[in-house]
Amino acid sequence: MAVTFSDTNNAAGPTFTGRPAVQTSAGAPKLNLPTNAQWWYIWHPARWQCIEGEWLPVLSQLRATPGVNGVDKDGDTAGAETKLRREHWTVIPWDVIEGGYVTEYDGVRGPVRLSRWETPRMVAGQVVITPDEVGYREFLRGLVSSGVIRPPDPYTTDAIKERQRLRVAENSKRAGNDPEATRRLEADKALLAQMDAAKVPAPKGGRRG
Amino acid sequence: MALTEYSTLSGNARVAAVLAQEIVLKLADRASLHNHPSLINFGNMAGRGSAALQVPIVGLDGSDLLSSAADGAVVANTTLTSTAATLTIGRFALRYDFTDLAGLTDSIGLTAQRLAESMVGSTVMAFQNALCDVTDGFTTTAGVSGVDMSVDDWYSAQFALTLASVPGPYIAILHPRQLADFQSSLRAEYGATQFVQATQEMLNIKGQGMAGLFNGVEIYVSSRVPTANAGADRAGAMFGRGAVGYVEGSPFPITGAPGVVTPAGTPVVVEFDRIVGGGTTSILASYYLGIGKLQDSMGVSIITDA
Repeated sequence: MAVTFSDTNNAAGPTFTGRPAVQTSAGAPKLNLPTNAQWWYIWHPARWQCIEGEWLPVLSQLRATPGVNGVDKDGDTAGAETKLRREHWTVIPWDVIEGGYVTEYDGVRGPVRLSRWETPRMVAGQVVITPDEVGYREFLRGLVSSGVIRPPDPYTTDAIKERQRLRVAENSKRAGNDPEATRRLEADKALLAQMDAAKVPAPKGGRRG
Repeated sequence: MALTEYSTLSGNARVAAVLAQEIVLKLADRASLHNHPSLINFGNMAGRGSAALQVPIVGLDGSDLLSSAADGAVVANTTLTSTAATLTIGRFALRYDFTDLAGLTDSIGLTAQRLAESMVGSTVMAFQNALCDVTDGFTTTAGVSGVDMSVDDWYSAQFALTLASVPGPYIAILHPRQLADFQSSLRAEYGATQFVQATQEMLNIKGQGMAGLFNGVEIYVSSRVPTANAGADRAGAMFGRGAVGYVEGSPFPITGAPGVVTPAGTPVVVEFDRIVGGGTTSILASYYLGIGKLQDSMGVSIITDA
């Protein structure tokens, strides 16, 4: 059919139908951070901290990096998990909260996996990550209340309090002559008072996971 | 008569810019503790029959004590205490594809050979990254989330190792943020004469990451120290020799690979691969590493504000 400048069936000319544009992955902005392997939160019964009058677990990460911490050549974490469990660590599954706790971003050099409480932003040409500390603490609280993590043994919290008492005692000796020790003494005393009065999130149901 | 100015030549007999004959390195942390004596190196896995190395940890030489026994009494058997740590090697790799056009127009030494040499630095930094991913996960922790690192946190970590009878010397790996906070705390400290700021001589000997000594503990700073508590903190560490071990692998010789470079002193293998159709040379580095904690109680993770 010959090219024409008008549609013979429509005196007003041809009509076109558009659709909403979708940004292709090639054109989408990518995060300029090092790529990292998949990871899971892990917790050990000795790792607790007192934050604003509340005992909360200190989590670490199991990263599926081949060759690191017992992860095998293909990134299989089975051996690493077995070792961790033998050492009394608990691996916290992704689906412990709805939507999971790991968010994956397209990175310049591959996928970048951050926790859902870390929000990357560009500020003055640099990638900065804003942590949602309140949300993360809520997650930690939920881990204990849902029974995924056992509440701390009094032995553990007593040991942490004892360390704090030592700090207070050490800085008490130097306070007065040493302005820095005086400043730290006040903060350490306040934290110790918080520890003494701290509450532990109460488990609501049976243990999961 | 018009002058022959730069602008009249520009674009024809003058170019917009010429390349300097010296390459300036992009700012990056290039300090690695690869080969540092505080880490136990179990050698090369080549020809050993497995990708995994089991390190026996046995309670010999004073771990079990003799008990007092009555004359003539039959002494009960003592089971020897033992455990093991397993180091499994995995592959770390980096590839650059370099076209012939990029190579033939080179005037500054940025060649396929230079890229191969650069792989050594990339390898030791991959090691450093893996090391920091190990040391952030000790069971014992020091520091307070959201609070700047202070001298008190340092002593907490040091005391924890002392209480666990960890033999010295100790080493600390801190994030630059943690080091800056620690130094800030030290600035206000009275009688902090033990802190020796890294001198030029120390830097020459031990490299970019050596930050100084405090109470006899070597302090290394590394931007590879990972975050903790959802990005609010950094998780550095202090540990004694024996807390962390590693094993490496070098696939020598590689059959059918003529273009192989094995930089002296490193286990990395760099290969050149020609893609004739594309007029491209691929430069590929492969490094096999297995790294992990040997004895958890020999280290402390220092978790303080990021």
